[in-house]
Amino acid sequence: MRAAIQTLIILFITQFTTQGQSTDLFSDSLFFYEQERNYQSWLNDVGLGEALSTDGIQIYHNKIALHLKLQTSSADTAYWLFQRIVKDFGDSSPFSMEQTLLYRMISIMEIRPPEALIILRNRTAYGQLPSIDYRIFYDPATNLAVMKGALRSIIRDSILLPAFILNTKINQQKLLNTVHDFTNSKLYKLKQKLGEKFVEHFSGKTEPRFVVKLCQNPLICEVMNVKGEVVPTGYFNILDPNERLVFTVEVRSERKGLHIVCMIDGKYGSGLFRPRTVKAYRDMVPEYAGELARYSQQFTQILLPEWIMQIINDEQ
Amino acid sequence: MQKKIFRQRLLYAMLSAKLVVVSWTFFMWLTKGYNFSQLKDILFLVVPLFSTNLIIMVQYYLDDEKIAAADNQAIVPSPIRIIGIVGSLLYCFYMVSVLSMVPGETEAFNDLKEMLGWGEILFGVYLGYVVKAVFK
Repeated sequence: MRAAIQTLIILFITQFTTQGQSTDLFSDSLFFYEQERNYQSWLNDVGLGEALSTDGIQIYHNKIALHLKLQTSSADTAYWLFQRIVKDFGDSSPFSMEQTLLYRMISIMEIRPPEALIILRNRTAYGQLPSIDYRIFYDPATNLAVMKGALRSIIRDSILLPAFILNTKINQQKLLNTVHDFTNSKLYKLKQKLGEKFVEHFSGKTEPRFVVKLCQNPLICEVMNVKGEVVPTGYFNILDPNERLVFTVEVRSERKGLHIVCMIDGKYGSGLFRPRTVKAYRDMVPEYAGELARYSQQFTQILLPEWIMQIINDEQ
Repeated sequence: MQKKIFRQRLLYAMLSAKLVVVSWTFFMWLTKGYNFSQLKDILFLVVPLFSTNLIIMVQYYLDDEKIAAADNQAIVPSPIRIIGIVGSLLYCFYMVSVLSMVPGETEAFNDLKEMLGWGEILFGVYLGYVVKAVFK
């Protein structure tokens, strides 16, 4: 009899504990939506409200993704704002920015660390990729909040539209047909040719080094130790920095034509001593942001479509 | 070597060594080896100790009484001569080679600053003692 009562009591207690350990977060959705507002008011309290704001949450059965937006759409301003916040946190708090944001989310949402995820981006126009795209999550290996993502320098789109094709005096219908016919194998061949064009274009410059990665999509072409591509040249060649440009080109076949997205990451290093490691190159963005934007615009609007046209013409 | 000649040579040796180091730093900055904040950090390490030494030397040459009272004929012992002149050259050589080691590598910059600091302590302080002894 006594043993039976003991078993009943144990069963009664375990019932509560199993309920407490429920991992399904959907059941508490309303609570999380409410806590998002509290998170925003905390951001305002600590003085981050001007720079950061919450932009909705996504609830999965074992994870909650909180979207944070930097309050600017300009890539340059976003870069500066992001750098400033990170630095301010480093100066004033024992925790880093990502740790503070994540730990605060864990405590406000009342969730366990592995369940929390913060997606930090800047505001963008529709269809444009954000220049700042970070994910902050808990790494069980190090027991710390980890921030992983990208600071994209400059992004430009270029789409081959009929208007452009007309300008080049090529039979519009014929070209549109070929564009429609672009299958994966043809796209691969096109990218291969594009890689060759990159090598051809830069091989005249001062001893550049190439790394062309042909993967399924995108095509990545890395050119190192070129001078005078983005940064304006001076009188002495030795004073010009060695540049490292990474072109990421994505080619998609769509109904309108070929959709080409090109992203250019520019870095620069010492002009006197050729940088020995990749780390020795610094980002061009704050210092040469204007030059990089101009170069990127010229490249994607003029040079890249020209190359594609040449490749298509050669094929026919 | 007489004290009067040694004073002049020490002044020129130290001035030229420092001039080479500072101009090399600026040249590295011009060729984008260092960015502006790194340039400031390096100059902050390199300049202050030298300027205190320079003050002592300039004060000496401005003070007529000191020049008149100075014992110009005294012979400077050779270890002091070597520390003064060769030390300046070694300092210049060391600093220029350290500055040329890893330009632009942000992660290695803290180590580089440490090495520059060592150079300043090793050469700057010893030279400072020599300057203090000779220019009194």
